[in-house]
Amino acid sequence: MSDVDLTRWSRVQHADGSVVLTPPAPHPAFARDRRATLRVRHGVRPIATLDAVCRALHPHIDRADATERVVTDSGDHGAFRALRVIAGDHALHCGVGVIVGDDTMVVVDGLARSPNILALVRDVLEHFVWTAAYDRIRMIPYRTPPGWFGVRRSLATLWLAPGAPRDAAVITVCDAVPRGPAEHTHALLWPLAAPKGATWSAIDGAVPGKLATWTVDGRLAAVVHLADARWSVRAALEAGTEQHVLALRDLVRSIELPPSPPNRVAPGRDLYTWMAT
Amino acid sequence: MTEWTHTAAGDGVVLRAGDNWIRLRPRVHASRSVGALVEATLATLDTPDRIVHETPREVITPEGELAVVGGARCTSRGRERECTVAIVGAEPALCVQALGEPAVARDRALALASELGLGLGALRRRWFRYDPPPGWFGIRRPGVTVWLHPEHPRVPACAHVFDARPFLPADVDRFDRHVLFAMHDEFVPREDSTVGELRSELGLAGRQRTVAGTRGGIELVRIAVACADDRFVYMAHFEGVHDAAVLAAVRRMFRSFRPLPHGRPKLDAFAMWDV
Repeated sequence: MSDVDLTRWSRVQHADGSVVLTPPAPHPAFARDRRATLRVRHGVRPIATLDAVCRALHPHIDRADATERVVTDSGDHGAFRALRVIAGDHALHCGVGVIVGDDTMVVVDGLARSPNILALVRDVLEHFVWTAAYDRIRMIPYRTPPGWFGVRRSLATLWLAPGAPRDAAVITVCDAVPRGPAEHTHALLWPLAAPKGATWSAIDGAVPGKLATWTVDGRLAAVVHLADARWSVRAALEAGTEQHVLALRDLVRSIELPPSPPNRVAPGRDLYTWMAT
Repeated sequence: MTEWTHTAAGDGVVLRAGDNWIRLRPRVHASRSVGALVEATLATLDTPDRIVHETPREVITPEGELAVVGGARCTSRGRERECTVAIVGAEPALCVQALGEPAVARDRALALASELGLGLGALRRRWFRYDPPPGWFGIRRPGVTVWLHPEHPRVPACAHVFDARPFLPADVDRFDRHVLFAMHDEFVPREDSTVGELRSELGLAGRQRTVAGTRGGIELVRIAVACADDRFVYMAHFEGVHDAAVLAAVRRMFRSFRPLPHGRPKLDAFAMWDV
């Protein structure tokens, strides 16, 4: 973990809400590196791949390490990559990380001659950036069937079969919904329901649930409901085959619900320390 | 009982019953006023006339979200029409637009605005209600609203009111406060600051710190405010001229901070008392 103290760094806020921090000189980790910067941007839209974010930031990438998956202290998911970029006559270390929200991202990037910037970016990403409430309608990780193509919709993701459009099968995976009034909203948007006479069976995954299947015009349809005390998740299959139902079962078994909420700590006297400068 | 059909529509869903319709969009990011949405809804009618607007009113949903409801009545092609708009929350908001026979679409729309959950979680950064100084100009930025004196920059006076923030884990909280709430570094304090208690008219308790100094050779005053209730922290700061009227207006704004409402969950335990 980086032990850089950011409290003495200069801060500049921009109209787009991004904040750029630069270290004082000399700095124990960054010496007098005038290029050393750390930037945090909230609300970046649209959600893009880490690859696209890196290329947009630095057209001249000399070397890129493998992407590392990141889970923040608050249970949000993201990714980090270390790069070496060419800026003028210099090769600089660059760390780029993203935290993926529901329709926006947080992007943290840092640049410096010293590789210390990489651990700093990683730290900020994992431990210091907070994006949104724990108990919101949110995307969740799961294992998608190989070769299926995802399309993002409002509060759900549609997965198209590899042979689309010839293969008309579509798997809809709804975002995880906190138990309560939000379930009503989500059900209006995604009224996934099984007809009378559908066959129900239990789902044996990490989250308890049930699956119903029925036939429409010779093709299989299915609906899945998973729920625990805090969350409910629904998924559906249209125009599928037995194999697609198995793929849906596999996907649903791999669903990971958000972890327990982080501890809330009343700020106490610490609330006022920011007013000292 | 009116039967409503559901049709998916891009960013939401449209409910229809006869020629009544209700459009629900759960994640609207571009903020528009209730009045603007009412006009946009009426514009879908064929030559509406004799339009009577309803005064927008604020409500609190059972989920504890701040909402604004407005509407209008008019006639179109000789028939009475009623339009209702509800905006729940902000950044993003749940928008409900309804149009149809008087009371039909409206009743259902108002019920939906009350029943539906925003699904963003109560403990997130949120706008909260307060009264800005009259005539000051507000600019919305991510996480903060900036208020400028009507004669800014001739009268240098600028206040930042940050969105209410839930209590966060210590590291996150310190980083956020250090990065987000920082004021310009070039301010040179001239004397020791004074710290006093702050209590808003609706009971938020905290402190305010006042310090005089200069920045760029200009005599200025800084006021920083922090107060909290059982869930949220409300913070703001001001930098501007040492003018009694300006400072009084800014302090009145700080005292007008209203705590965010709590949700009112349905309690089945009392269902037997429902009449």
